[in-house]
Order: sequence, then C-alpha cells, then structure tokens
Amino acid sequence: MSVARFGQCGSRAVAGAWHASPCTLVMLVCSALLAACGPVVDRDALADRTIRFATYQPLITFDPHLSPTGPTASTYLSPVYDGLTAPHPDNPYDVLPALATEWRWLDDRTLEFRLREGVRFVDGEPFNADAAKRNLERMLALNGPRRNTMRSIREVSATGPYTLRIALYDPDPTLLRNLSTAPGLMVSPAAFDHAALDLNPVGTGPWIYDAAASAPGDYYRFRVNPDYFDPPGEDFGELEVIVLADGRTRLFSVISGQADIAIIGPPEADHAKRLGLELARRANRWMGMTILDRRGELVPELADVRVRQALAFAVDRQAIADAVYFGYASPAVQPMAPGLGYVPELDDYYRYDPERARALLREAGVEGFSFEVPVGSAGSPDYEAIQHYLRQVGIDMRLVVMESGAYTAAAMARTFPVNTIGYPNYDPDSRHLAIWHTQSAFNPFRIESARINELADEARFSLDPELRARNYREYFDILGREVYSVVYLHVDDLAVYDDRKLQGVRLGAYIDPALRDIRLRRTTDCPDGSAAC
Amino acid sequence: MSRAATGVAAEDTNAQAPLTGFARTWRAFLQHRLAVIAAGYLLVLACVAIFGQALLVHDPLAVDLARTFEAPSAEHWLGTDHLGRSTLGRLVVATSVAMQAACLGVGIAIVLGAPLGLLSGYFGGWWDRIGMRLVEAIVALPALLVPIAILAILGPSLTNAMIALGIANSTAFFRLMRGAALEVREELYVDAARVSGSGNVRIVFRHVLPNVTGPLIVQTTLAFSYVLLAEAGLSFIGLGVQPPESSWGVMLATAQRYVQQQPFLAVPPGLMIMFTVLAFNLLGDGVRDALSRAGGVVRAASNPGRVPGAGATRASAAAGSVATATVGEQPASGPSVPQALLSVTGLEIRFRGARGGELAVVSDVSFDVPAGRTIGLVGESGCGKSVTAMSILGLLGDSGRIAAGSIRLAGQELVGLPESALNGIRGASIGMIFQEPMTSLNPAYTVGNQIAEVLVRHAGLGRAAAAARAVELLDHVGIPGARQRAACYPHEFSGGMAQRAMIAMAIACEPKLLIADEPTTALDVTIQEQVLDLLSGLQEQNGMSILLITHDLGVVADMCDEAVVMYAGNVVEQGRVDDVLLDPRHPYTAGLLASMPQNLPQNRPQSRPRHHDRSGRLTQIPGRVPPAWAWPAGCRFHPRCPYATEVCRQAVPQMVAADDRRIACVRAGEIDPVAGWRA
Amino acid sequence: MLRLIVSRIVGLVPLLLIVSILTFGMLHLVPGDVRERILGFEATPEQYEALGRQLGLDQPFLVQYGRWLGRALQGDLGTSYFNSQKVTDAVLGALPVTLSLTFGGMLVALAIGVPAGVWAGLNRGGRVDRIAMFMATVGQALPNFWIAMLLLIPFAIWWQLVPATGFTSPAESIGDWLRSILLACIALGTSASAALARQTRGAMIDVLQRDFIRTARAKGLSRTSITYKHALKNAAVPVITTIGFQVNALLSGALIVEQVFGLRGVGSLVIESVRTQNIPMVQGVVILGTLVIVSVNVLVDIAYGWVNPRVRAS
Repeated sequence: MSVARFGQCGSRAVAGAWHASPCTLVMLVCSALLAACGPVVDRDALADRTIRFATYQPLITFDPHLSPTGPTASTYLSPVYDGLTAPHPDNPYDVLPALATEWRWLDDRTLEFRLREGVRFVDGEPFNADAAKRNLERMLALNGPRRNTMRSIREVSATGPYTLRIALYDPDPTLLRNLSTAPGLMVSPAAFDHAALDLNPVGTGPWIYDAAASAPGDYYRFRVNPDYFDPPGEDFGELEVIVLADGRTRLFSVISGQADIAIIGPPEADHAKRLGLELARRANRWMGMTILDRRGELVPELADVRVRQALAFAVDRQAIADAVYFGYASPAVQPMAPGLGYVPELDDYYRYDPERARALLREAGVEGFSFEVPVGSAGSPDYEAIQHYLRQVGIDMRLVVMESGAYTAAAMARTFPVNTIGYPNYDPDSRHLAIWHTQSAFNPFRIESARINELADEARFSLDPELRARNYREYFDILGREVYSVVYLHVDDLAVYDDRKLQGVRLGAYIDPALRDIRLRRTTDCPDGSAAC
Repeated sequence: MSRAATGVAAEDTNAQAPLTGFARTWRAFLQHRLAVIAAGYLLVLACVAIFGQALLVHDPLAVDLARTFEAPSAEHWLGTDHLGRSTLGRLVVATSVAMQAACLGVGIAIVLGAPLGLLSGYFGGWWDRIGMRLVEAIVALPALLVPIAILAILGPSLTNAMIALGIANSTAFFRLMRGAALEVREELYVDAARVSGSGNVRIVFRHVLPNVTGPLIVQTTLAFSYVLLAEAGLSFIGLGVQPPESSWGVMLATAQRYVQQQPFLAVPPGLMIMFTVLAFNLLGDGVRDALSRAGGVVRAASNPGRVPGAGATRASAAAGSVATATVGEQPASGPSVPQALLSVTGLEIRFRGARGGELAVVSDVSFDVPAGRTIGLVGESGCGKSVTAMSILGLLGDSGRIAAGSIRLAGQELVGLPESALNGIRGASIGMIFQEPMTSLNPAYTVGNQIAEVLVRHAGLGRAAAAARAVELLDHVGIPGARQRAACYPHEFSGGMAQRAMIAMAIACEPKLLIADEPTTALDVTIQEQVLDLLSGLQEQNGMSILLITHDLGVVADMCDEAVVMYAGNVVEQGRVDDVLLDPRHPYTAGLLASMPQNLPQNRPQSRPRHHDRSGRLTQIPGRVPPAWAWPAGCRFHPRCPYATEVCRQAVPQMVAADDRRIACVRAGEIDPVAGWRA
Repeated sequence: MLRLIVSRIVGLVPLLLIVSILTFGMLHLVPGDVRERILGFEATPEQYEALGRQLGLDQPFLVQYGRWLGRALQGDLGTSYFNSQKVTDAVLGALPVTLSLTFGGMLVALAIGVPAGVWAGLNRGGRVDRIAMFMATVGQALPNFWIAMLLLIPFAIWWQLVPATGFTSPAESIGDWLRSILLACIALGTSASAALARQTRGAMIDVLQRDFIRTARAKGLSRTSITYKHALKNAAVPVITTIGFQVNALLSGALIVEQVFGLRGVGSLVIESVRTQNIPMVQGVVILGTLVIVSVNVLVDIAYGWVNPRVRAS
C-alpha cells in the first residue's frame, strides 16, 4: 500500500533524469553514434586498386576438373587458371589463344597445339606439354561433372616439350570451346594430390588466390600475379569477390561503395537505372518450359502438338518482359539467339493469340487440363505470370516450388511433365546433348526423335560450318513447330557497376562479367573528361 | 496467511458471488477491454481466413501486368504487387495460410508436448528424467536453430516448417503439463483418490486437466504468437512457405525485393503480423488476468504469508464504493496525559477503492504514548492496527490518506508534513520494526551496510564511522561476533538474529519512539522472549517510548503500560494494562482474553501462551474480522458478539470515559462481558 | 564464487552431450543417401563406396558418434559436404557478424528496456506506465526483421547515413563497424527491449512491494536511495535471468535480420546450408550456437550470483 504512493513520489524525483521518452532516447543514441562515425564518405576510387565484385554464388571448388561449368567456374576459376584456349568475349562459338598460342587440325580427328613457353604455375612448376597432358588425363580420370564435354578425347600425347596432340574418337567442333571451360583449365601437376586443392588453387592465371585474406563463402581475395605471362597493364587491379545472396543487397553494395560491380536481377536493374548507375547486360538464357513428357505419360494432353502450341500462343511475352523483367528481357519463341540454330521464320510463328490457343485446344479436343511445373525456390514471378495467361485459355498450370538441388534432380526424373530450367541460348551441340537427345540427362522420358538426333549427330561430328548451320536450322525448325520446348523470353543477365572506377565491363557467356577484361579507370578516363570523378 | 485462511477467503468470495469458476473467469475476462477487442479481432481474422476469399472483389490470383506496383486506390485498397495482383487479396490468402500454419504448428506443439509432459510428470521416474534432460537441451539451443535444424533434415516447406516449429514449441507445453501433473501427483499422495482405486486416467482427467486449463489457454495464445512470428521469419528467409504460395512472411520477402518499386508493399503484411501477434498476446494477458482475478483456480495457494496490513489494503482496494460506517460524530478527546510524546487524536484513514470511492478503514482513533512508556495496540488481524502505525510514519501509500485527525510527535503535527520533513523523522525520531525480520531486511546488502545507512542518513556519520557504529549497535543488541556478522547477508541470519539486527537499525539514531509491529509473531517462542527482553532493556537504557502492535495479549501483559484495543477500525477499549486485562469491559476484549488458553481474566496473565495462532485468528470468537467494505451498521462487533441485541445493530457506540478507562459499547455497564464467553 | 562458476560449467557437460547426440543424429535422420547429394547423379558405384568409407558411414552409429565427438572436442566439427572447407573455420568466421548483432542488440535493448521498465514500475498505473507498457506490448509483437526493413529504407537508402550492406570488422575500424551494425542492432534491440521493459517493470513492482522497501522507507531514506540502492539491485535478479533468454532470442533474430542488411553471418551460412542440406555445416552452427548460448548462461549465472548473495553462498 505504501509502495504505490511512493511510486508516484518517485517519479517526480526522477522525472528530470528521464525526461526523454525511450523513443527520443533511441534517436539521441543513434544521432550520437552517427555523429561519432561521421558521414559515409566515398572511398577514394584511385587509392583503392581493388575490383570488388559482388555475386550471388559462393565458390563450389577451385579444382577445375571437379567443378561444374557456368558462373561459379567463370567467377572463381577464370581469375586463377588458364586453359589451352580462352573463350571469345563476343562470339560463343569462337575461342582465343591462351596457354596454347596456336593449333591446327592434323585431320578431323587429331588436333595439335603449340603451347606457350616460359609459363610457370604460381607454385613455380613449369607449364609444358607434359603438364598439359597430365591435366587432361587427370580430368578424364576424375570423372567430374563436366567430363562429358570432353568425351571425344581418345588420347593425349606430348609430341614435344611445347607441342601437344589430342587424338579424338570423332570429329568434335566443340572441343576448342570446351577446352576453355572448367574441365580444360590447367592445374600445377604438383598440386594434383593436395587434398585442399579445392580451396587452394594453383594455376597460371592473372590473379593469385589469397587464402589467408579470404573467408570462403563470404569473400575471396585475389592478388595480382606479378609473373603473369600476358602482363595486363597498370590499370589492372586486385580482385575481391564478395558473396551476397540477396540481389537487392548486391545493388546496395554498389550504391554504398562496398562493391564496384554486382550481378543483379531485373528489379534491382530497374532501380539502378533510375539512380543513373551504369549497367552491363547480355541476353544469355532463354526462359520457358521444356516439355519432358511429350508422349503424354503423365499428362496425356501434352502428347498433342496442338496443345503444346497452345502453350506457346497463350502467353503475352511482351507484357512479361516489360512488367516482370522491367524490360530486361525480350520476347522469343525459339531457344537459340541469332547465330547457330536460329530460325528467322519462326519468330512470326507464335504471337500472343489466346483465341488461337483456345482454338487449338478445341481442335485437340481438350477441355482444359492441368499439369504441374517445378520452379526454383527464389520466387518465380515470371511463371506466376505465365500461370495467369494459361489460365485464361483454360490451362491450369500448377507451380511446385522446389529447392535448387531437388529442382535439378526433378528435371532429370519422371516426376514432372516439364522443366523450367533456363538454358543458355547458344551452343546447340551442348543443348542437344543435354536436353533433346534421347539419352540426355534432361530427357527423363527418353523420348526419341529420329530426325533431330540424325541432324544433330551429323552436325556435331562435323567440322564443316555450312553443314552445321544447315542442320541446326532444320533441327530448331522442327523443335519449334513441334514445341519440344516452349520458349517465351530471352533474358538479360545484368551487372551494375561504378563507371567512375571501372571500365571495360561486359558480361561473358555466363551470368557474370568477364573479370579479366575489367580495368581500373584513371582520372583522365572520366566519362565526361573531367578530372573530378 | 495460512492455507486455511485462504480457503476461508475463497469461501467468502463464493458467498458473495455464487458463480461457477468458469463464469467468474468469463466475467473477469470481459472486464479486460483490450483482451475482448483482441479476441474479437482474432475472431474476425478467423472468419477472413475461412470465408475471406469468397468475399473478395478481386481474384487474389488475377495478374494484371499493366497495373503493377500501384499505390492504394479506391479500386485496390492496398494497392497491387509486382504482378498487378491486389495486395488486399493476397493478404486475405496469406491470412488463411498463416492461420492454418499457426494452427498446425500450435496443434503439433500441444499434441506432442502436453501428453508427454503429463505422463512425464504423473509417472515420474526415468522417463521423466530423460524427458526433462531432453527438454533442457532443446531449450539451451538457440531458439530459431531448432526449427532450422529440423528443416535441414526435412527440407524447407510450409508443412515442414510447422512441424519444426511445433517440435520446438512443444517443450513449453511439456513443461507446463509436467508441472501440473507433478503437483497433482504430490497432492494425491495424501488424497484418497488413489487409495479408493480411481484409475490413472480418471485421476488425470478429474484432477490435472481442470487445474491446467487456464495456463494451457494462456500458453496456447503465446504459442500462437511464437509460431506466427517464427513462420514469418522462416518464410522471410525462404525456409518456410514457398512462393507463389502467399504468407505474411513471403509477402514481406517480396516487399523486400521490390522495395524500390513500391515501398508500401512492406506495410500491410508487417501490420498484419503485428496486429495478430499483439492480439494473441493481449488475449493471453487477458485470460491470465481473468484467471487470477477470478480467485485463482490455478495457483492461488502459492502465495504465502503477506503482512496483514497489506492484506487489508488489498481487500479494501478491491472493494468498490461501499457506504462507510463511521463511528462518532466528533472525535472524543484522548486521555489527557500531559507529557504525551505521541498524541493521536480522532484519526481517520481512508483508502481509495479500485474503481473510485473511498473507504474509511480506521476512524476516530485516539490514544497517547507518554514518554518512556509502552503502549500496546491490540486486536485481531484486519482491525487497522498496522495501518494506524504506518500512518504515524506517513507511510500509507498511494491509495491511503489521513482523512481527519491529528498525529503529534512531541508537539509537532505530523499530518500534512511534506515528504522531506517526514523523511527526517522516519528512522531518526521514530524507529520501526516489523513482523517478518527476514523479509524486512534487504537480501542484497549486508546487515552492517543496512544499519550504517541509517546513521549516514540521519546522524551525519561518514561511511567508516557509520560502519563502526553499526558493529557496536549489533553488539549492543546481543549479536555475538558482531564484527563478522555485520559483513553477513540477511539470509545468513536466523530469524531472532535478524530481528535483533532490525532493532539495532531502528534504535540506531536513538529515536524517541519505537513502533514495533508484531515484533515477535514470526519468531520461535524462546526467541520471542529474548527479543521482548531486549526491547525492555533498551527502553530502560534509552528512555524511549514504544508503540507495540500485537494481537497477543500475553505480550501486552508483559510489556505494556497501557492497552488500546481495536476492532474493525475503531478503538473499543482503552486503559491501563492491568485494568484492561483483569477487568475487561468490552465484550471484544473479553473475547480476546477468553481465547487465550490458560489465561482467564481472573488471574493476571503471567506469561505468554506457548502456542498461539500466528494468523491471529482466535478460536473462541466465532467468525473473523470482516473486510472494511463489509463492516456492519451499528456496533461493528455485533455479529460476533454474544451480547448483541437489536440496539447493537442500530446504534453506533460512542466512546465513554470512566475512571481512566474508555469503552465503546452500547451495553457497557449492563452486561458482564466475561461471562458470555464462558458459555 | 569460483565454486559457483566451476559447478555451473561442470553441470553443462551432460547438457552438451545430449545436444551433441541430437546434433549428430541429424545426419542419420536426413532421408535419402547423403552420398547422392555430394556426388550428384553421375557418380559410379565405386565412388559411392569410397565416399561412404571416407564419411565413416560403414561403421555402427556409436562408433561414428564417438569418432565425431572425439574430433569435435579437438575443435574439428568436420568438413563441408561440397568442398574441403572446415566447418569450425566457416562458423567461427561467420560468428563475429552475428555476435556483433546479438550483443549490440542486447545493449540497445538494455539501454531502452531497463530505464523504461524502471520508470514504468515506479509509476505503476500512471500515464507513463501505460504508455511504456503499450509500447512494450506493441514492440513484442513486431517482427524484428520488419523493423529492420522499415529502418533500412530511410536511413540507408534515402539518406545513406549508414551503409545498407556489409560488415566491417571492428579490427579494421571501430566507427565503420558501428555503422555497419547500427541499424540491425536497433532493429533487434527494439523488440528485445519490449520484453525487457515488461520484465523490469514487473520486477520493480514486485520489489517495491517487498517488506524491505517498507523498512527502507521507515528508515527515512531518500527516494533516490530507495529506488537505486534498495529496489534496483533486487529487481535486477529476475531481469538478469531474462537477459539470458533475450540473448537467445536475439541470436535467433540476428540470423534473420542479417539477411535484411546483407550481412554474411551465421544466418547466411545456415540458410545456405539448409538449402543445400549441407548437414555438417548445420551441425557446426547448432553446436557452436549452443556453446554461445550456454556461455552466456554461465555469465548470467555469475552476474546472478553477484546481485543475489544467496546464490553466491550456496
């Protein structure tokens, strides 16, 4: 009893001390701290000689022979390793010299390389024909995930200290290109047996991985390799790869100066554009659905080509490109971008025409049907939009969210009638083997299409560009009209970067930028010519 | 208060409001406005979750790519999302998902945790030990890591997330049910239920479940809050509900992605989470409150001994505005002893009720404490003795006030004195000791520190001097090894020692008046004697006055020069101790005396009774002192008085003075107050 | 005091053993073949067998557990499924971020919650009390990651007072470190302060009703002395217990709030590991997370002993 009254008195006594409400207190503390820290200042772009690249994907392994290809390989392996050839920055079907300075076909099953001399791995081991041979043999023996791209190799032999000969089972027009990807990269033979090779790369690349200064999964630092065989010049910087899972966070990292270049998605690119930031873009992938169940075992309706065509007619591609991709995608009806396998006539074949779609369904005698579609877990607004358009013509597409691992696994099993994997829109040889070949991993129903197998087999074992162009044109014409895959868009890969600091930024054939081409900008390189940037 | 006393109190309440436990709880709950609003909100939410989608104007799945990221408008009240879908529609769908998910999660938690806890608590033994270890281990884990680890095993999905949250949250139900079962099991050892062969299942249903229903409801509401928040969190980081399915957490994740395009997207789902969790929390608070207010079906017994004064205050505070029955039109002047150190005149103390209205708990109390003398304030618990004593120090607290009368200390009026002035008197001119020495000492500081504190405050001593003096004082009150003991904490003292320390503290500044509020009641009989002897000895040395508050007439006989007998807020009899005890004139005084086992008024009590009732409840006077709001009209004692007549029911007795005695009884003189109690 | 600490630590052994068994058991509860996840679909049966031997899957459960525990006691919690990264290194590398947020959040919570609770407790039933408790009730219902989102937009995006992402180690720059975690700490601390304020208020009210406060008042002590000396230290007893719970809740909250600010701490690590079912990583996070919580609880017990002499003595 006495206490309650005491409380009232107490408040009078202490009110002075606590005049501020808790809320104001927080504000005070915040502003005090902020004042103490001072304003966020832009780091001095010139003093900072590190290219900081924010990506979404952590390293899988630094062992190229066990690494998958794709963005993780190009982000983490390309700084530290070279292959015999290097990917051409603009043409996905061409390669540039790298550890091999020149090559020639001795016959259509034998390829001979002249290797660069005087190159040493960062551990001091020399690079020569023997090292190259041992690398390729290791790659073939280890049976890594991308060994299949090198399956045409029969035998590798060193015909001289710097000449290497590769004998093939079959003519292989893709070999030079494949040698520039992960399984073709060269590791110091002395490091072959390092248990920790996967986190301690030993290559010949322009950068040296600094394990001590890195935190795998978080950030990876690369020092400039002073002994690189092709000195990149003074405006070549150190490299730091920062992993930030969230696209928005990566954009902020560039805005706040924590990173200089970041892979972002369309919503972030939209924001970046409004802020006036520089973007690099390249349409590398197609987006749509590959019909796995073309015999109709799970969903009988999908066996009818008219039903599959209805899927292609029913969707307003432009609206999705504009609204969901914020313009960073373009409507497309066929898998391949202009180049090998592109069929110009097909472009007018499927337009947005829901009436036509309904008519086709009626013709096929289908009164609405449903099917399940696996989508990745990141949230798939594009497929939600497609779902909406398909519903308009009476098709009930159900989205089943899957984890990335399970998602890929499902695409290789007879679980779903379709998959939604976005494949690269170039390199028909690889796509054929991966997707439409009878024995393809992503053809779980083992659907055989004699004509396309025939066309592809002829093309992929031929070194004749005209034959290849002819065959793949017919191949994709069939594929398009028969709708083995419904293609809706070709999607841009996007990177935002600080153009006051970096120049030469362009995206490679995968999602990430070609890191080796990036140069630090000197004062005189300011876009407006002033020295103030 | 003992268990028995609580039981009586509960019966009283029952008599007052003949309602079932449930109805009482319900009524108490309805008084909790916020909780009722929360319950209403949740009901609406449940309806939205079930029927909402049927009522929607816009199909929540209807994509309109031409109208993405719209701000709230007349057509789309909450705007549209990245696919041009109505946010309101999405929210309704999300609500349904969230509610289903929460029900599933909480359901799993209950189904898993409750029966296991029940079995574990009821049967005990090894299973119980293993269960508890397991629960402890889970609780020791970082809270969110348990569901995350389970999701690592099962893979992320809504159902798996709910299973994970259910498992993580089941520990709370396990512990709750185990506790309840354990309690019942222990009670049943003395209960006949087992002996009479009731089956275990029946025991569980008859005894455990009714007891645990309330806490279970409370825990369930908490579990809902937890699961909703955790689901939102897990979905937000992509381990719970997976888009395109919608949940509040997923909507927030979407909002996060498109925050540049439309920041408003983050607002509706966040508010929904907040309101819903808030509602569950408020509902839980309301239920808990209602349960405890409705007489605590659950754990009322676990609130042991409270000081009588505080009990009286609570009772009076709980009472509404009840007409006050005052005694005496004008304050009768006290016995005019010229050198009164303390003079209380016409004191009236009022307490504010919980919902307005005031209640006089002490009225027309007058007495003097002459210098160097000891005055006993006597009566049962709830008669206003302690309140009177506290009012002298001005310590009535927030809800009490002195409404009338005067308290003079050596001529200085204390009533109306400002706090600061009173603070100069408390501990300096007036020392006070309390019934429970153990709880009256601060457990966090050494005894020496607490004594020295008074000296620093009032005697102006420095810290070192005060500490030294504290040791002397401890020595003075007969604590052996005072130097070492001064550095001890109260819990290292026995009850008697602690009371000696309290006395040392009270006399540290050599006060003129020592108020001792039931100083020996909590002590063992042998110790009581020593403490009283100490007080007498100190009084002889210092010449201080003592106001001794007690229900124990034996103590009064031993210690006091004068006795003031109080009943229900009034003084009923007052006079020299010998007179009052040997020749009680008021039936209440006589009743008190009669209830002392071996002391009848014929013989002057020589020693204190050896086994008195600590609660101050006397066996021979039927009933107990009613709470202040239930004081009857007329003579307040009449319902318990064997002499009561119609006159007593109506006439308010006035204080009548006769040869040094003052008695307030309508029938004073007509009756022999002692005889009636013998019958 | 030393005995108290030692006995607390010894008492943890069975607890940690149970946690370790539960954690190790995770590996065996995962449906499907672990090896399939590591090797993918193109591996040969020989590779499967070799990996099985390497992981010790051919041994009985207890042997596997014994080996794992033996290594764990030496600080080796195994290796990631997907590369040779040591789990211990990965988790320890991620801990500074998460711990910065957790304890920063705790500081914010204490700075807001305790004064608000004391203030409300002293003014029980008054306007201040009602406002504070209303705010606390609302605060407890706020998801901390939502607060984080709401803070991020103006402070980091519009005004750019603090970086929107990224963690600076305190070893590099204390100022940058503070800035990098400030918003996250405030977001975390706000919700934790709500619970803390309620607890403190309750403790304060409870203590103010105790007999020794009445004694202190009867001694004529000043209000300041009664509030700060007599009431506060006793009220601290239940509040300190709450701090133990709050650190647990804050650690959990930090896992999520990290994501809002793009801070790569334990949260990112564990989320990624759950997605890829990288069980050794998840195990490592659980074990080390438990160690953190348990250490905090020992500290709490010690602090408890400090304010509560009864505990110290026993």
